[in-house]
Amino acid sequence: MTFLKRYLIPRLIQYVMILWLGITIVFLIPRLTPNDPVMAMIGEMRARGSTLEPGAMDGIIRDLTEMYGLEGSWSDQYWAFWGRLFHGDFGVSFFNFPTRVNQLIATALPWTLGLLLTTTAIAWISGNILGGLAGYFSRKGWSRSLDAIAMVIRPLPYYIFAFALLLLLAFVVRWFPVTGGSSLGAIPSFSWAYFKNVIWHSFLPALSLIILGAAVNFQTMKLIVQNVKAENFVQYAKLGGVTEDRIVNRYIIRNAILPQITGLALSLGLIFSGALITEMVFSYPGLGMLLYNSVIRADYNLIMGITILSIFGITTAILIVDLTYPLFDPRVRYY
Amino acid sequence: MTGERQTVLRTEQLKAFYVLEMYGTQKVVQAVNGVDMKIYENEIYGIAGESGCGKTTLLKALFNDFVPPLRLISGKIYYRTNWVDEIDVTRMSPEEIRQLRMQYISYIPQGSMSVLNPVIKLKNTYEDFIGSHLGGQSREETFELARKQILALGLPKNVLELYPHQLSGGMRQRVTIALASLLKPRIMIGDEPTTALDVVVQRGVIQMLKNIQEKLQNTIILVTHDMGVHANIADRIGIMYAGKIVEEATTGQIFDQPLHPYTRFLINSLPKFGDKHVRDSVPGNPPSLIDLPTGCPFHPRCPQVMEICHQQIPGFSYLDENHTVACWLFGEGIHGQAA
Amino acid sequence: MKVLRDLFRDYRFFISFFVLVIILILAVLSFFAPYDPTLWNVVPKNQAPSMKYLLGTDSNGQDIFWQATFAVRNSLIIALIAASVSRVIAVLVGMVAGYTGGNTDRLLMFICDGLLVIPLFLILVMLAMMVRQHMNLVVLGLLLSVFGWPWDARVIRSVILSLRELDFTKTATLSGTGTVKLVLNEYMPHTTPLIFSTLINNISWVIGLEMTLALLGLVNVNVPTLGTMLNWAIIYQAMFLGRWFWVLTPVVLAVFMFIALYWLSTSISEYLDPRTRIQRVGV
Repeated sequence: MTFLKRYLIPRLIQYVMILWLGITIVFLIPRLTPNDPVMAMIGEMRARGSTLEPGAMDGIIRDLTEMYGLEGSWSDQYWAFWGRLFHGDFGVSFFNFPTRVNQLIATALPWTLGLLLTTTAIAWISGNILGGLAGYFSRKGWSRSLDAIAMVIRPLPYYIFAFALLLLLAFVVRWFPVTGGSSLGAIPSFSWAYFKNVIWHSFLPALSLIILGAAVNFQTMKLIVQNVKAENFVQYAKLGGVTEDRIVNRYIIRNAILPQITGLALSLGLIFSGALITEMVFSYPGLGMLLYNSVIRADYNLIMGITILSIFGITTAILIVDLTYPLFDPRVRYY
Repeated sequence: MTGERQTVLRTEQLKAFYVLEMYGTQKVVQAVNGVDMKIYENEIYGIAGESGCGKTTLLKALFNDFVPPLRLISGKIYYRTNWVDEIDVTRMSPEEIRQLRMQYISYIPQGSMSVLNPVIKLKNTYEDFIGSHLGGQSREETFELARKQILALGLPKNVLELYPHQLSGGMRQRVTIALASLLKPRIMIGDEPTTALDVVVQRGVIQMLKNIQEKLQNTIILVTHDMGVHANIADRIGIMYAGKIVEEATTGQIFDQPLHPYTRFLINSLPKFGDKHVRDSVPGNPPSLIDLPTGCPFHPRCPQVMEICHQQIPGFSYLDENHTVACWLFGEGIHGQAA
Repeated sequence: MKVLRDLFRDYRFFISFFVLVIILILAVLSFFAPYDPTLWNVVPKNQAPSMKYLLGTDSNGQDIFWQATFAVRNSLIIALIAASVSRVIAVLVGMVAGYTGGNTDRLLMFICDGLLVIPLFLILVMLAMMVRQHMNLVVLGLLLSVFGWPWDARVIRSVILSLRELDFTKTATLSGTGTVKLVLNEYMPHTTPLIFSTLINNISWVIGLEMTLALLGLVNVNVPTLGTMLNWAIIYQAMFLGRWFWVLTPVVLAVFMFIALYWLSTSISEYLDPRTRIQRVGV
């Protein structure tokens, strides 16, 4: 019971409040910027080369105002905003008129989820295993070499790394296709052929995300393991003659995993953004490409829809990861 | 079979230093600097000294725990593992050393340190320690063994189902003592086992140690700066200073007849009932183990320093078969030979 | 300067120091550039590298080498503005939250955590779209600074929390030292190395973020920065047309900068942390 009270409920309250904070920020941004968003949108539409009939201007302003939800006072707008959210109504895409935003997102989402989940899992697991071994055998040659490689990869931002990979493996050596997803014209099905096609096209973006993620996990896990090795209870177990495999498993790894779980939760936001950016480089048909297209076409509704969905998705994912932590750390489970 | 007691642990001119290399310069910490010790069966031996004198390093060395940057520079350490011969452990393989731990020699850590794995229950910690040495036992059998011992030592029986953070500091200390005595080792080494505990718990811990020693008839080496604890249970005491043992005698002799000037300061600083005059502490500071003084390491702080103290390290002189002291005041001494 | 000498023993500091010096030289060279970087058609287009045009020319009619010097300079300016402003915010928030505690602390940390969790990239995209007309180096710098502080504020706060428990704090307060003076005089020395290493990390992060935004076309594309250079190269299909020098110049420069900055900050923070300093010992 105390666990529920001291850990679970505060966490849930925090979850709801952060969701509220994030979505409110999204609400406020267009209303706080110095430009009138409607005029800014018209300016954008003009800049993209669409011609507007003179008489249609008023009608467009009215429609945009309504679609932006800018009618009425701020509190009216706020209520209306949340009302629409609870109905899952993100409006209509401007440049894919009249396709609803929800539909566009629904098409792109599975691609992103597939990429994100597999690459995060592989990067976390492999990075932790390699980092753990490297931390334990920190004086060996291979440990130091891997660390040096990670030192070079880790500081690169997602875009640059993905781009470099693209240049290298799709242009210079032409081993992989330039665009991600699947071949043009391939019909989605649950067949093996289609699956292979997807994998071949998705290989580069996945590789990019996995290498970057694994490099970070490798370095942090290595440091953690080096610190855990020096902990009192590990020294005590050694002086008690506990066998090495038990020490590595139950004393070192089980304790080193704890901060990595928390670290995963904290970096989910960055990983997500990184995935979107990587998709853009490889023209992978996920949320990233959707975002890119919506930016260059100034499709405001779509951008807002993607943003709100992402806030919701990431916050929830972090909550789930956070809630698995007590499974691993009994100090939180029992008081 | 004579009435002579056997040594269970003996060191010969043991030297263990920390070799640190930082940014191109090398610093050597001479933590254990030529120690000769003889520890007998069925006794409680106390090692006394202030912080930074090398006590903890000596303990690590006695366990053969030479992890870089700690290096065994020279000297030998003998265990008597088969009850007949002395065996030089510095030549043993890591696996042989590992097996000796817990079964021949075990460790009782300082109470304030978190020495128990926080993420597993105590019964699993027990299982780790037991299972690493007694193969061929099922998990149930090891749990049974642990339970019996816990009850025999008077600890509450549900202790094994708990996690370390659910226990008080005193209870944790008792558990580690129980663990140390579990496989009936011939030597148990305690590193400040009563420090950082309140006096009531201290009493309990000391009593527990006495009981165990009486039952197992083994040897306990107790390292602490608390002379009161030594007075309470130690049979013999070795005074350590700057990496060397400077005086060694029975407890009675140390307290009634301290010879070495440093020991004298230690004993005189203890409060006594009815004695109201001001206590002097040792003047000056302990020496840096990187930069030791020449000759006798105590000479910069010694009120009775002589010319020769600056130049040569004194050897041991014997006043009687139990009492030795390394000090030029008492003769030239036999260099590097304990009684 | 014994500190510098010790630092130079670390190969990471050694290499990164010189790389950054070279980059700084490039930035300074921009003041001597013979061409105005914002104009087009200053030189013949799409020339291969030669003695006259060291790295060739691009499709806008600009000399790539001189363009690059401006790019480096502007990227650095943006990064310095963003990183310093966000340091100030991080220090203020961290110190106030750490020292004051209570509800102020809870509120500040809530905002902090919120900003950490929310995918800032998307918020940034929305913001950039809104203020695009007013975008210049300073505005972009300030915009990016709003997002760089939460992580470091948390770190500084935990340092302050542990310092607060130490005895010297009690001594200072009991002898009448005011809060501001206490924080400035007593706590700053402990946090300064931390601030410095996070500054370097932040600079690297801001440059990366600026490049990503530029590649989405969300900044003023007429101002040469590392990001906008790459953006133009991609728009003009430089990859497909084999004009490698145009594409590779900003990429290579950026990669060197990121790695050098990371190595610099890692070697400095390892030097400062006594635990890691001891770990680098010989056997």
